[in-house]
Amino acid sequence: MICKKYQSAVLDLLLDPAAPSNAAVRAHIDSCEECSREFKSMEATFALLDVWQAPEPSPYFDQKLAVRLREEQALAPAGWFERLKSRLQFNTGRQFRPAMAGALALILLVGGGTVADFTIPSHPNTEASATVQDLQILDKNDQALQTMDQLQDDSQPDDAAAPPSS
Amino acid sequence: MDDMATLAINPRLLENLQAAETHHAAGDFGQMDDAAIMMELRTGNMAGFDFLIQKYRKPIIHFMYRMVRNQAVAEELAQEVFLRIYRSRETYRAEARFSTWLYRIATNLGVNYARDTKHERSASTIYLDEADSETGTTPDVADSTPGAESNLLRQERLNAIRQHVLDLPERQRMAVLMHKYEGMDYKQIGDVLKLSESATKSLLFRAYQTLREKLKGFI
Repeated sequence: MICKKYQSAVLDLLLDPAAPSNAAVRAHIDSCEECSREFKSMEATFALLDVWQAPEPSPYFDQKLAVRLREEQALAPAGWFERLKSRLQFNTGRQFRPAMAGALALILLVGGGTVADFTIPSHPNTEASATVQDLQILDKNDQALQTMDQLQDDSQPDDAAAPPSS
Repeated sequence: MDDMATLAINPRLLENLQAAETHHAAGDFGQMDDAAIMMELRTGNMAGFDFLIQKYRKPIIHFMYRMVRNQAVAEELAQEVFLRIYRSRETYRAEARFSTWLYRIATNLGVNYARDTKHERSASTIYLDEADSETGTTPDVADSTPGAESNLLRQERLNAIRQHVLDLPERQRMAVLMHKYEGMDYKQIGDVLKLSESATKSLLFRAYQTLREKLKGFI
C-alpha cells in the first residue's frame, strides 16, 4: 500500500520520473520499502498497457469522410433546435453561468421568503410572563388608588370653602 | 503523394484551398491555434477544417478503436465526430481547448455506442475459421510450430488488457484511455469528463490500481 500522502504523486512520477517536482516522492519511494514495491508493480502495469496497440487508419477513411462531408454540405443548414441541442450537449456551459447564477439567486430569494413566511408568524402574539402581568396589575391598582386619593383631595377644599350652615 | 490522392478523391478541395488563400496561406495553419482555425471554418474556410482532420484523425480513430474494439466501427464513429464538429461550427465558442471539445464529442459517441451494443458484445461468437473483425487475425488454435505458445500467451495477455480496461467503470475507462493512450494531462481529461483536476487524479489512481490487481498475473 502506497503511503496516502504520496498516492497522487505516484502517477506524476510514472509519467515524468526526471521532473524536479517529483524529487520528494522519488526520495520517499527510495526510502520506503512498501512504497517502492507498490511503485514498481504500478510501473510494470503501466508498461504492460503499452502492449495494446491500435491499428493504423484504413486508406479509405479520408475518402469516406470526404463523401459524408460533401453530403453534409449539400444538406440544409441545421435548425435552431438542433444547434441549441449540440451547444448544450458538447459546450462547456460557461456562457450559461451568469444566467444560472441569477436563476439560483432568484430561487433562493423566492424559496427563502416562502419558508420564512411559513416559519415566522406575520403578527406575533407576544404573551407576557406571570411576573410582568402581576406587576401590571399592581401598577393599575396603584393608579386607581392614586386617582381615588386625588378625587378625595379635590373634594376637601370645596367643603372648607362652603359657608357654615349656622 | 497523399495530398495528390486526397485531391483526386475530393476535387472540390482545390476550390476550398483557393478560397482559403484569401484568408491564410496553407502553411499558416500549423502556426495557428486550433480554436482560431475553427473560427476560420465559421467563415467558410474548409482548408482549415481539412488541416484539423489530418491533425486529429489518427488519435480519434485510435481512441474510438479502444472504446469499441472494432476498426470499422471506430472509423465510422470517428467520421461522425468530424461531421458533428462541422455541423456545430456555428455554435463553437473558443472558451475551451478545441481538443477538449473534440474528445467530449468522441466520448459521448463512444459511450452511447457501447451502451447500445452492450448485449451484442456480451453474446459475441468466435468463429475459428474467420478473421477477427478487431484485429484481422484468425483465432489461435493448437499449433505445433515453434513460437505458437508464445503467440498464444501474447494474445491472451492482450485480450486480458482489453477486457480489464473495458470492464472498468465508464469514467475510469475514459480517463485511462485519454491518459495512457492519448497522452492528455489531468486538466484536459477533467475538462472532458467535467471533473476537477484532483478528482481526475484520484479517478485515474483508482483505475490503475484496479488494473494492476487484475493484470498482476501477466506482469
